[in-house]
Amino acid sequence: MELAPKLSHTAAMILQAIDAGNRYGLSIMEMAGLPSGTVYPALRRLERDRLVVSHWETAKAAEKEGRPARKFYRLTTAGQEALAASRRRYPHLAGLFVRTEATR
Amino acid sequence: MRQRAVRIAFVWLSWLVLSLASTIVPRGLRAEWLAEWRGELAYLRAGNDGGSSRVLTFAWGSLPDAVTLWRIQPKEDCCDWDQAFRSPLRCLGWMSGLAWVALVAWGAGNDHAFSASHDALPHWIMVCLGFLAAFVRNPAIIAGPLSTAVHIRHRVVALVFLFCKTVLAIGIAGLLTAIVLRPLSSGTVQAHAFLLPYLFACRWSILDQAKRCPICLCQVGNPVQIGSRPTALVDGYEMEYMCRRGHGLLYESLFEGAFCSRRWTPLDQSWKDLFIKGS
Repeated sequence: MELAPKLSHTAAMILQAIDAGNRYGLSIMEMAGLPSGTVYPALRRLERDRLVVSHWETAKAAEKEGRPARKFYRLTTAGQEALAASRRRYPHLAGLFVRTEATR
Repeated sequence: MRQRAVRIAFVWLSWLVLSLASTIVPRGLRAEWLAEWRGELAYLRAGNDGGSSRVLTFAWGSLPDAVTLWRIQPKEDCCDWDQAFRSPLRCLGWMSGLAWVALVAWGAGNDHAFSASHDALPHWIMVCLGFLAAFVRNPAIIAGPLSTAVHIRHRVVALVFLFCKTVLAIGIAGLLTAIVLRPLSSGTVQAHAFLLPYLFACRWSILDQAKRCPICLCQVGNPVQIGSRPTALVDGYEMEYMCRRGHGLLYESLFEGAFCSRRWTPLDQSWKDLFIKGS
């Protein structure tokens, strides 16, 4: 029998925020209403557990808009499964954040 | 004007916090970590929402983040103290430095702890007793099946290294004990109290030797447990260590009372591409 991954409420909120289209740290913080000291360590742990993966946007794309390059996060397949399990565990999680289009 | 000064102070403080936190982050990840935090700080400053204090509050978050990164990284990548004793020359260098510091500290006080009373055992006897006790517990370091798998030249170098290391360890243990025991007045108690530190020093030296490659004398790493206790008699139950320079694999039995407690499997030149040069 496969065990469903169990996440803390904070980690589940962060996964939900990423799934809703908030792909970088600051945006996740603003959406989840959590401080940086909670969001970034949680992102490191989620990345270690391969629930999220990160990648840098190309320098060219950032320069074009005259801003520093950003590190984006996205859910892996395991992350999607963990989020689905968390939604069953925390029923109100799915309605927390409104899905946004792409990144700012 | 004052508002601008306050804003600059907050930005400067946030950069200071970030720089301090970056020292905790493992070296290999530091540049990327700093780039991410500096980028986010730049966005926050540009947004200018919530005032300057928000920039500082945000920067404080870098400290728990740095600690988390440090905690979740494999220790091998970030522990510099472990590396100090990894190579034999570094090990002897560090121990010589420690012995010199202990000697200076001991010489600073008017100490006669080494002049044992007539009732006490001489120091050289206590050293021999300590070494014998440590050696009996783990004799395979010098004798045993491991020694036959290694060329005599390497065995001699290993013995010289073990001797130098043990002498330095005993010296450090003796000097530190003398410093600690200064307030005691009884000479006999002082002299006999050296036996235990000598035993610990010898035991550490021998156990450290057990975790070194018999060829290059560097500490072996990447421990992997093979087998389990219930299957010890069928499949074996041992720990495999790898020489970081690719000289071979060291197997140490985890089964108490095993006849052959350690064995060495040399790796030939065909394996060398798997290992980093000079690591």
